[in-house]
Amino acid sequence: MTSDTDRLATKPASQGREILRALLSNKLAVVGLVVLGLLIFVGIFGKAIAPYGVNDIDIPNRLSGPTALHWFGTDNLGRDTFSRVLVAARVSLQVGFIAVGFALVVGVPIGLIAGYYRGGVDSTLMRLMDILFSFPAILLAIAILAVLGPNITNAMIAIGIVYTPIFARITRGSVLVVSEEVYVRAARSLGATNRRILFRHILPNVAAPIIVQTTLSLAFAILSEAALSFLGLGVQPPNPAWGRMLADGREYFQQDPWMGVFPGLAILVTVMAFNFVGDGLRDALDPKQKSVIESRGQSA
Amino acid sequence: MSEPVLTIRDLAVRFGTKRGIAEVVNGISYDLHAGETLAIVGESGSGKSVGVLAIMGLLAQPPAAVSGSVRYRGNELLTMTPKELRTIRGKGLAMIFQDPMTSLNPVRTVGYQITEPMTLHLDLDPDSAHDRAVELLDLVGIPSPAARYDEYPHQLSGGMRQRVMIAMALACNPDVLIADEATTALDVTTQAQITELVADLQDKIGMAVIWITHDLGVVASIADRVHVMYGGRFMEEALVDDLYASPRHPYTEGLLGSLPMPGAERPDKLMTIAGLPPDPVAMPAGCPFAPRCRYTDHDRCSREVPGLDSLGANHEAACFYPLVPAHE
Repeated sequence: MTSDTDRLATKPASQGREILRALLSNKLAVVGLVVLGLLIFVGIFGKAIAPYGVNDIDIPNRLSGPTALHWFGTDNLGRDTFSRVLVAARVSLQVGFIAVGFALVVGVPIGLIAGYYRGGVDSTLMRLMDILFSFPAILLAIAILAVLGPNITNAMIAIGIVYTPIFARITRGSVLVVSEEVYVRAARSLGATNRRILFRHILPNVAAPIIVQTTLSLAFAILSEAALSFLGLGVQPPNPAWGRMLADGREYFQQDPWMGVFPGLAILVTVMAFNFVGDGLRDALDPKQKSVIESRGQSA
Repeated sequence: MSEPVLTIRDLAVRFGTKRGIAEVVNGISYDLHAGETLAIVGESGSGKSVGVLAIMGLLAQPPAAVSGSVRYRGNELLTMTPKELRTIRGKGLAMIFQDPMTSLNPVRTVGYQITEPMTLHLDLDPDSAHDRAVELLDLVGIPSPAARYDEYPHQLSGGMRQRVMIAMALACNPDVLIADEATTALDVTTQAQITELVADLQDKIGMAVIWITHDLGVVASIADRVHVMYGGRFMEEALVDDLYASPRHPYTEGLLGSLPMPGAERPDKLMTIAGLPPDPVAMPAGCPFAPRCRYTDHDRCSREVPGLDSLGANHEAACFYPLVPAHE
């Protein structure tokens, strides 16, 4: 028993705290987290903070460029770009979270079932996913929107469908490995049901790659929303959206470049913030840094 | 003797492989009575683990094909629906595995994993399940069990994890505990502690134990009966003392001869058994051990498969020409 008690002297912290510490020691990830915090704040309170109404038209002051009154300048109708960028944050984040949420809720169970039951179920589900995956993302989203009709709800569904196969694949790959583990067999030997094994034993063990993919997909989903709105298939005017504003700014780019620059920057900053957090999480969840897996590796 | 808890008849397991059909277990039969310890001994690939996995219904079918009969308290397990089988796994029959490093879920606390079989089989409220789990941790000799309850497997050493596995297996007071090479991955000191622990618990709870191992040293200290397995068959069955005192099958003799015996005169060389275990895809036509047997010069051995023959009380060997008992 001495060897047992010796090892306990250096008691490692709980996994969650370890991961958080690793994440916070990554400077870029912290920057990303701060920016995300600000974005979410703006997303919630954007309308209240905005100095002007999003549709307050002021033709005499149109295309003004940044001034003390209009920090980001005004657009072709004299609307305050700063206010519109703030208010549009909500819809971008909403689309990101809801679309990725949809992809998670549909894709992860597909991956779990395919990887656990294998055989015909696996082939059928994954070939379906391959069909979705083989289309370029934006093209597939446009096709879905063409069928459903262009509005913001349908844009969320379309982006969600586009990202579903990614989650299904990532989940399935990890499940294939984890379901061979002895603890899965041990759980079965104790009388656990398949559903219990899948959701209580396997899912938490495949969570790390899914979490990382979620943050990275949020960035891409927001980018996709911007692209769809840019093409006129997402948020419909006169409601503000970054992609839509960018498209409008393009027409006036020679007269007043500022009109397109700020919504473009908003997209850039948001996507980068999600990417920083995603990269940070990937490093923090890296199996090579986790003592759990380390000790497992030794025995193998 | 009373009704056996577990009755196994002609259990056979075959796997379809690319090279052909692998006959891994070839018709084994035995009874297990309440409270007894049966050791199944054999080298790697002798089919001993597959045999118990088949009993628990833990082999995926296909590729495995299991035939024969496994009766637990009179109920046939092999024809049970998965749902019926789940009510017996973990409650009537429980199992501990070879490698304690991989047999606990790394993302669940020790407490979660011990209470899980209770939530599955016993109608316990969370508080009593918690109390029972702490009790079990104490029972398997884990110091400060209440604190350990909330810890994760990576915070425990290998020996501790195997104790936790045993606590999980004992959670619902099973009639039969199957230990599949449960001490193989542990160092010798911990090995001794774990075997002692299981023997202790067996006295307290009265369960039967099937101890699968390749280590004859472990067997000698804990088993009542020993079945020696080779090529998917039982070669010899005997009470543990009889087996050590006078092995009647040439394979058993070889196994025992390959062990260094403390106290005995030191031989120049330990005995070895030439050759390799038989390929399960191409089993020899006769006795599976014939190609490696140092005594074989009989045609019969390579033509016919010997059955288990009684050689006196509680001693059987599957050999046409059993060895003469040492003490006679």
